[in-house]
Amino acid sequence: MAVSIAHTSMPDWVDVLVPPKHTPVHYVVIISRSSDGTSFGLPEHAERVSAGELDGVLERARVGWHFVIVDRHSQAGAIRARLLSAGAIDSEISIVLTDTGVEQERRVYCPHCRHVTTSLVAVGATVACAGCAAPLVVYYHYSRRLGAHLGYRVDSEDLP
Amino acid sequence: MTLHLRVTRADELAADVRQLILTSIDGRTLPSFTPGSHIAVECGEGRRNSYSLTGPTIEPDHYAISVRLDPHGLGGSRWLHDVTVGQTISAALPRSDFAPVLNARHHVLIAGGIGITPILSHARAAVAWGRSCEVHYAVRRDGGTHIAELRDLCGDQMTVYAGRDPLWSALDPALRQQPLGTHLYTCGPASMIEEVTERAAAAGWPKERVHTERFTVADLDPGAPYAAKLARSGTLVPVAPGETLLEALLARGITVANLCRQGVCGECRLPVRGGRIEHRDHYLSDDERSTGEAIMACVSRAAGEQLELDL
Repeated sequence: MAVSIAHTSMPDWVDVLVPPKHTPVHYVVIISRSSDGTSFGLPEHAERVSAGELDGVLERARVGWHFVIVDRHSQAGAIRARLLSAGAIDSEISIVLTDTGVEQERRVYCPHCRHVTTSLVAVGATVACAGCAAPLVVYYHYSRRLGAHLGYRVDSEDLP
Repeated sequence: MTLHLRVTRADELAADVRQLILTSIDGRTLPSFTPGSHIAVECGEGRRNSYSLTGPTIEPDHYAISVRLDPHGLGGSRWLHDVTVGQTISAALPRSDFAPVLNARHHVLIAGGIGITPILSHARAAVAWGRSCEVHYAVRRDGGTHIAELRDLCGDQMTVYAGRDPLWSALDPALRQQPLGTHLYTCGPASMIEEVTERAAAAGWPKERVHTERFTVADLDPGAPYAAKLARSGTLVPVAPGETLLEALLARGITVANLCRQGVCGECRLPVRGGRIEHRDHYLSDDERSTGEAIMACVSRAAGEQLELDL
């Protein structure tokens, strides 16, 4: 894949907190149980919730709030998709990854059966769809709405 | 494309505000437009003023504009106050840099004075499409325009304030209780827009949620003289203090597309090859400014003695 990743839809999330350019009045930290979150420089007064508590938080969320997701790549993307559908915009969401190796757990969308497969896999590698078993190449096309990579059949360009 | 429009009706909405109803000459519907759009109307020799369209947006049988007389202006509003019913005027197609965000959860519309005109268009569309909105309207002591029309549209979702102080008292708490997904739109005098922007920022709003429509710009400093170098021909065009880059280029016979001449519309953007820029427009984003590759010729200047344009 001879492509400049910066010019794709691949997220540029990192393992440190990139502070927002504006000054939010309230922070909500959505943090996975496996992380203590203490080393990320998060504001002390932040409200800490789990992904399971997020729906209740979104019902009372106001403009002026900022959301910090501390999680693995795959879960961060899925939580971010929930925030976007609740009305949040890019500048209201920060993501702190807890897995920044090459082989991150990624969500891969299958365009054949629409199942989303979660797997420890690198972009460009192949994964078997957990829905229809099709061998899918994990593409650098990343859907913000789904929080998943597009997968395509590894043999889709071979002549029959 | 130029629209030729007939003035079919004129009403005095207030002592200094005249509403003109404009229709097509051949009786056809006029081009549809997005709420918050404006048209640049030719008002006298070589003058064009922009006015927000306040009427229906979809295949309208008329355009409505409300013209406030500016006694200190260059004569465009005076010309439109003197125009007679039946007369034909020319205007450009509607344009907008103030469209509603269609997936917003709620819309907060804030107007000051004659800045109510694009807000009225937003409110009308919000009601027509069932979008949630509230209107905050600050008027001068002698009253505002379009209030009855807005009251019919918005009912108790509109609050009218006698001046800015009561507006700020109500707005500060209002800004802190908007559901996630709300967008804010404001039009009015430049100083009011600045303060709305600052108060929204203080309430934690990111700037992407705050949409502004400016119809006046603060008087700009005349600046120092400099030379614009046209890189392709090597020509040097001197720009005097008080003269804009746009005026200097046009005087040399160099064609530069332009419209508002207030650093708002984006029409006169020119590519820059070298030299530091003092950006004074409201059009370019912070990222575009930092690259130094573009200048809005109508208001911005060189920060040094020379600016090299890719012309």
